[in-house]
Amino acid sequence: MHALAPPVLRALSVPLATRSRRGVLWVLSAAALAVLVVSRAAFGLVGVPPTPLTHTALDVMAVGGLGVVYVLLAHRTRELDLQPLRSLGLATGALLGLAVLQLAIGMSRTGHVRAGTWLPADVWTVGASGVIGAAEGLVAVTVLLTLRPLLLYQRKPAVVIAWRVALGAAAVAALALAGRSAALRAPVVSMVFDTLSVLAGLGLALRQGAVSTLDGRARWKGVGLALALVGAVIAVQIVRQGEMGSVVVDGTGLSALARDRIPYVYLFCRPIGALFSFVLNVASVFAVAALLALLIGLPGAASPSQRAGERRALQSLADLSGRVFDPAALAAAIARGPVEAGLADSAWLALSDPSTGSLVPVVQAAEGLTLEMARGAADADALVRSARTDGALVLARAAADHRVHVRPGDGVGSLAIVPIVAGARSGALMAARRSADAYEAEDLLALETFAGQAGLALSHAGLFAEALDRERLARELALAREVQQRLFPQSLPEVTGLGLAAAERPAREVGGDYYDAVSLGTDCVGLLVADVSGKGAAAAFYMAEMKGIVQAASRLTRSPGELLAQANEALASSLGRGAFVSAVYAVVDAEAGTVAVGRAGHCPPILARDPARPDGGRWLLRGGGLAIGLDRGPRFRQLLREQAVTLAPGDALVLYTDGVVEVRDPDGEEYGYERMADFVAAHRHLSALELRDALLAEHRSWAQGADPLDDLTLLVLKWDGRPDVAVPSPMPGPSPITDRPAFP
Amino acid sequence: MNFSVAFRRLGAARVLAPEGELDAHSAPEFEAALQKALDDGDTCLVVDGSGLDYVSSAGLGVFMAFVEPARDAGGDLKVAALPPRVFEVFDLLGFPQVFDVTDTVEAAVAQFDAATPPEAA
Repeated sequence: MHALAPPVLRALSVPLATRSRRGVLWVLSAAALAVLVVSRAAFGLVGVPPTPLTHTALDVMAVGGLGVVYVLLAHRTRELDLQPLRSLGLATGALLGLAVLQLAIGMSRTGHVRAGTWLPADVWTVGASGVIGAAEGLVAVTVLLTLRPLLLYQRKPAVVIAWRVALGAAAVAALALAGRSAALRAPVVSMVFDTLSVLAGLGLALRQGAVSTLDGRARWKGVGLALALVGAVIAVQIVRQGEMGSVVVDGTGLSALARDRIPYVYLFCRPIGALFSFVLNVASVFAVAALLALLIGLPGAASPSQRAGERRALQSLADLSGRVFDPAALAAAIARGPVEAGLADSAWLALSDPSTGSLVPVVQAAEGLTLEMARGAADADALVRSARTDGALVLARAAADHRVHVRPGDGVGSLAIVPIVAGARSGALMAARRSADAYEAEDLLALETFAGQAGLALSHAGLFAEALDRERLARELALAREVQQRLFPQSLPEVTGLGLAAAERPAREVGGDYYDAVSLGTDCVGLLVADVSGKGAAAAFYMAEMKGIVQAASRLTRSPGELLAQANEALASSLGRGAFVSAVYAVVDAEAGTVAVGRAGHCPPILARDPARPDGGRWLLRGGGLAIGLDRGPRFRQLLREQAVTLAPGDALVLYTDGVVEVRDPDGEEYGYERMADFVAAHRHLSALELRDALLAEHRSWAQGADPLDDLTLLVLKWDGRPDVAVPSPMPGPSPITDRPAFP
Repeated sequence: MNFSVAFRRLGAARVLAPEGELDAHSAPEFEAALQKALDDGDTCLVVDGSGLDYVSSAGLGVFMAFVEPARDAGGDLKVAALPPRVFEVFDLLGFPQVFDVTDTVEAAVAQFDAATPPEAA
């Protein structure tokens, strides 16, 4: 039935779509009532009863006309925004008016009806029955319409169904009476449907959700109005059933009929009388229930589940704060909240995540529908933007909104959009009910409260995740730092005639600098300084790999080129995209007094020699070669060059990383290679340790206390010569350096 | 800490002009710019380095990371007009020996234009 309802309703709403069509309907329904009034009067005045067919047709026309009036007025009242108090007042007023009308008529004269033909006996009765009949019909419609917002409060699907059953069954019960004269008993069909309609109506009348929202003075006004409504119902009943509201049956042989008076309305149209009775029954139960609900806080039939829902909502709120450790579970709990609290049939949470670089809200979790459905159901971005500027938003008819992409029957009849702000993230909680017009002001209030709490929980979760990330990062850095520390040589090899000193100082984080010094037999050392691109754990990993390669390859080869080429080949597979290692490797032979240097994209080592010697001076040993990882094919070997130096006593060789030369003074002036080479040349007479300390002091003074941006690594070698090694005679040329391809 | 990337088109090439210091902080932005160019279907890329004040190893890594995808897609990533100090950093690494580094943007674009057969009119 539910699935069928939307198309039927849509078909019904077509004639209502335009103003002119509604005008035509007004005319038609007024004409139907007028025809009924005139023809009933005519039959009464002439004294000839209508044929059964005519009688039936007139009755059906009357019920149909009232139905159209109901639909037309229902269309209007939607815009009226009936508050509970106004509804109660209007219903009471209409009923009291009717009671007064009937009383006035009844007090003026007594009406008479002829038994047998069941036509009014005189003109007075003709007029009175016409006025009362039409008035009852219109009052029935008015009372139904004014109570409708209260009965349909929160429009849960079951409530809407009950409402349609009540109206439909009442209409059937009334139509089953069409053409029946006033004296005949109601047929079984009519009684069955009448019972059904009254049961459904009573069920609705017991729902006091709307009335129980009243508080303070409004509550006492509500008590007064409910009391007045009870009074009005009783007054109408008394008048209608009593002598004032009924006509005397004239005639004989009617003892079997067991009644000598019948209500005026029966002379006019019996189905209208039945409809009015139905409305009166519903109104009376509603009024009594409202009175009790207001006076003693009796929970209305809808309230217990609603209260339980609110409790569950509170529970889920408490749940939320417990879920800040798991963002996905938190989002799911937020989407579940409104559904569990009875505030929605389905709900979803759309949030932006600026850390992804996008401000467009994305559906994070959904309850009552799948994530895909929630993503497709509405343009979350447009709705969130609108809710952000104008506050919570209710689409009473969701399907009619251009930002909503659902069709009637998809389960999104009305949609509430409540903005959520959680730190840098923002978005909205969307709550949907299957029926249209299903969100009341207090629903929105409850949703906003919930959304506020949800926002808090989300921002707590964000802070927690940040703290966790920071801690994780700090732990990772500490670990990487520890690894890095262990990778550095714990002591430098001791070789007669060679002075070695090293310094390393990472910048704020774990740096990518690495150095090593390996002993190659008694007279040789291998010195490596490398800079791994990137920092942190990945850099520490590459360093560890580099260390393994240097330790292994240095035992196998004394060629710097070969070691670097092997490192390039070994690291090729493990270096990530865009990662590379620049390295310089020097093999020093203290016995032969030689050094061989290979440079793979690294800063050129500095060699300084006593300028008084004919081969003295200072050099940047550039050689040539690609950084490790720049080319994974044969070009690395092809382009790599080695430089060999025959050492002279007092020579200083400094290997370092770019942090040393790239340091800037407060004016932004870079220290640079030339300045560093000059400094080494000027201080070459110092021991390795002293030269290292002098370089560090120079570095500090250049930076003038500024925070170093890059890591810094220094490896200083001083060769003092050995008595067993003949001091080489000064070379004839200006440079003691020979340059050759590493792999000729 | 100011860094920005401007796009322009010159001949067959898309020219990206980074401005400022290309270091670990600005590298992701430069990376995103290059990725956007590739996503747009541009494979002939020229980086106009004239606005670069400094390039760190993280910045160099970005160049390295995008040469291969550009070449795989049938294009290339060329670096042009580097200021001397920045060129020095590229040069020390051996970058110009593996990748195309030209003196001017026009020279880089000309290499692309020469390699791209003119489309039939």
